[in-house]
Amino acid sequence: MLLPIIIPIIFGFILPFIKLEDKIRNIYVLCISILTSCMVFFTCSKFYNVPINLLTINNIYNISFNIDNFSKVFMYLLAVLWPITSIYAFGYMKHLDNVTSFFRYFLIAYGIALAVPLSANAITMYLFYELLTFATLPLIMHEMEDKQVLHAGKIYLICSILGASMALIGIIILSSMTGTTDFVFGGNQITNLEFANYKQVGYMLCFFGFSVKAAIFPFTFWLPKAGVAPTPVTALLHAVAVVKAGVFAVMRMTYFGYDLNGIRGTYAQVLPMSFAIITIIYASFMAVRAQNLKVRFAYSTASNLSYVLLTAVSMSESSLVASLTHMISHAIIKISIFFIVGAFLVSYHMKTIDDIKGIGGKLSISCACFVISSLGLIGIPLTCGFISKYYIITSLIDVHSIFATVGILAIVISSILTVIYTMTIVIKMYFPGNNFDYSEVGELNEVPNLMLIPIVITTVGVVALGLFSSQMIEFFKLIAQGI
Amino acid sequence: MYSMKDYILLLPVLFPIISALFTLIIKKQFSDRSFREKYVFATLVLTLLFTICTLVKGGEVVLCNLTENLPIKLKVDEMTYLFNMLVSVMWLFSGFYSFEYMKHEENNESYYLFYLLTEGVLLALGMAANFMTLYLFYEFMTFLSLPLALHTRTKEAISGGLKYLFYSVFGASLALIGFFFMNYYGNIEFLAGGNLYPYLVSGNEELLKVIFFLTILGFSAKAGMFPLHGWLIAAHPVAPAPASAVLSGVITKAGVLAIIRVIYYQVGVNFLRGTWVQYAFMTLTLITIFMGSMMAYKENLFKRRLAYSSVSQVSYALLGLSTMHPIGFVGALLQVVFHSVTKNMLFMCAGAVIYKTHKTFVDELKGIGKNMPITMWCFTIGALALVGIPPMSGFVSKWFLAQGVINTNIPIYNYLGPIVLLCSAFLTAGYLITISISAFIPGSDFKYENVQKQDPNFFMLIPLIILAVLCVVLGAYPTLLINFFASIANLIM
Repeated sequence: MLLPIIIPIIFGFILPFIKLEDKIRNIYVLCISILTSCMVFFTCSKFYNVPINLLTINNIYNISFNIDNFSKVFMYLLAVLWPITSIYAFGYMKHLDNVTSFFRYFLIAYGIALAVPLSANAITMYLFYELLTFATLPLIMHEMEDKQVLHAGKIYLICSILGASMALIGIIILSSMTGTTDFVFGGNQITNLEFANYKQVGYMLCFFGFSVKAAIFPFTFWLPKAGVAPTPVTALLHAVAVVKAGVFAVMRMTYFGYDLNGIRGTYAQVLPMSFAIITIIYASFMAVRAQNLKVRFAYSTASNLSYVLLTAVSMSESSLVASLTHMISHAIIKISIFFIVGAFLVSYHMKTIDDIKGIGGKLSISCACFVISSLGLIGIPLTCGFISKYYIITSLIDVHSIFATVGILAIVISSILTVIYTMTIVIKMYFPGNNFDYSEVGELNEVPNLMLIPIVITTVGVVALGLFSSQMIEFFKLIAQGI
Repeated sequence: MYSMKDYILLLPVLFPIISALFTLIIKKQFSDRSFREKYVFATLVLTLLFTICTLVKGGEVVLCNLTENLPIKLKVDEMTYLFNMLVSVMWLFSGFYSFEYMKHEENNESYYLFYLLTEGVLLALGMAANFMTLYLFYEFMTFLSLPLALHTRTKEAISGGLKYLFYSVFGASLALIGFFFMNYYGNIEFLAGGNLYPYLVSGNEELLKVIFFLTILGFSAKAGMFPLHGWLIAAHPVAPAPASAVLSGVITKAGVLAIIRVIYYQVGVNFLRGTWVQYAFMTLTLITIFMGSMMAYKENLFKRRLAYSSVSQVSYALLGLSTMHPIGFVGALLQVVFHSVTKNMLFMCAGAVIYKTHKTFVDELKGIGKNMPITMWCFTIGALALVGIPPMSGFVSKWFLAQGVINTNIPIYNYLGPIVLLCSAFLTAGYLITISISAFIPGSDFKYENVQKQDPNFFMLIPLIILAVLCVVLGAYPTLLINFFASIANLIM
């Protein structure tokens, strides 16, 4: 069961020692990614609720692993997207130095990211959560020389560690209340009544601590700053692995850590909901203001992650299903958008929305993919964005509280803003204006195949998931029933 | 569970779309003008035939299920008859007209591509059998008709197009809230008389009223109702004339259709009648009617004057819907048909003038009737129809609308409504008939020796004349339409 964690870490670690030619190294990295993904699928089909205890420190703190349906969701997500991203990275990293060390940490991060969902208790999850921060730091700071990059790395580190330590306090409170940190569906019952009053504080510490990674307000700023990283990192880590690990951890603590009934309806639910709503609106506005493409979509990520957080803490019957659906669909949409933006950046040095004027006719495939993914982000039917929006709003209506209704309003406003910040780009791409000099665009060849193929795959995924989501939803419903 | 025969409903939707996409493959031949004209014309005619086939055949079909209870479903019902006939006929006329007009525009290939795509989506919109499908095609309509609006690629066109996009999507997002609540508190399937579940609704009436008001407001953006009318004035004048004709004549009606679906097929009139939602909706329509006419009166740019006129006239139809009374409803549907015919024609006239003389301002049109007599006679007929002079078509619809408003027996409104209608009719006469008068009677300082016959060729004139005849015929013999619409009204109220 631990193979998916161990394989990429070991093979990633030894990568610089076995000096390989570029081509062979790429094949090596791809093979390891695919092998790991296969191991993920294998272990997920083989094991179900058989905890493995690796190390016991005392009767509360131990390092143990387990697979339940909830962790499968996140593992499948990583397993599908990581190999695709590695293909993209081969195309993208061609022009950068130190590629070998990049792929080393790329593989190590894969293993550690998989360990987060595999964790059977909060302590283990915390451990790997911290490790994930450290493993991804070299990826963000890949272009070391730049001052901006160093600064971004520092901010990322400080924010993450601050958040993690807040979460740790929350976990400690949980363990003192219940005597355990194991994940049980519906939360652990409070056994030590002496500490019962701390449950709200503890939950909120956990929520805000883990939400730092999900860029909740007022910690939104680190995510756009970290956009200096090479795009495969921005795409994978900042649309999927790292930020979703934060969301995943929040959901874990909400549905499996703390006792739901003790939190529901108290200020410990209201405050997180309000902050999520603020983030949704704030980040969308910032996205509209941003001119740099990567920054714009980084803010968009922050806003969309808060959809997930808002739904997750609304704690209604269907909210777990809804938040998981949005977690998956946003991952696919956003990775595809970042792929495209990154491809423009590296192939044609297009950074801001003014640079991409008039390229719609030239780069027809990648621009068409961009349009489809944008429609997904807005939540137009036939894309997976609509499916998740449908479940989110339906579950929020189900809550019947004033905060949920405000949340619906926030999501609607945010999707209008989404139209603005995606469609202005699309319009610039296709309709630069009739006095636009097309010779400025010059001769552009389509994005290199190594990048184009992942872009097309993820875009097809956006539509496919929008049309055929029923099996996935059924699976999420099982999780929501505690199976 | 559905046989092959049921999928025939897809034909009028898919045919223009596939035909449009096929032009991307045969790019080379399609760039040849005469081939392109034949190709587009054949597609439009065949689509009309397919539409008639499906309307005769009827039936319903589920295309796919997005989730277990969100089917994409097409169905032919009484509103479909009205809307789809309107779309396919108007599309044919406007397409025919555009063959000549588009000669002085560039990028014809992309124009026709999106023109045909939009037609397919609109036909699907008319057949939408539930809120989900309606919303889906509504959004697609916006995105696909956008390139028509900003076709000329000038700065104004692009900013107009952007306005169109944002107003429409803003409206659609508001409407989407309604969809989610409808899905929760009722069934999204369209059902004559409404489809809310009373046992779920009780206790949440106030919230739902707010939500459904927002839904109506959202869809009214497409219909150009105050306060979401801004895009119409920005986008319609800058589009090529045949595009403005369908934007004003047909696409605004998509907003009306959506509101009909919401009020009469989803929420049900009984839930809304006599509530503040009805009053607020009615107030907004009355404001729009008056304001639109007033602004049109003040406007000097020819096409923008017509755009303001659309703002005002489409809200006539919305006023009829807001009465929630059978007579008002019949009036609304009549207005939809008549305004569509008339405004299509008026925009085509404006287009013909621009095409031939490059005159875009109203005060340049002095004596134009001497140069382009046929065009301006058609224009005059349209103007009279829009004012509502019997026996032109506009008279019948306005008669029913006024009757409907009076019959609602809502205090103040039952007086105010007819008065506003009357004022607006005067203003309409002021902003349209004056054009005709100065066109034909330019005054003594007009130099008759400069007159040359400038009427466009038959590509432009045929649709103009047919529409002008329709204006009169529909007004003189409205019984068939009235009976049909009355039967719809009986069904849903």
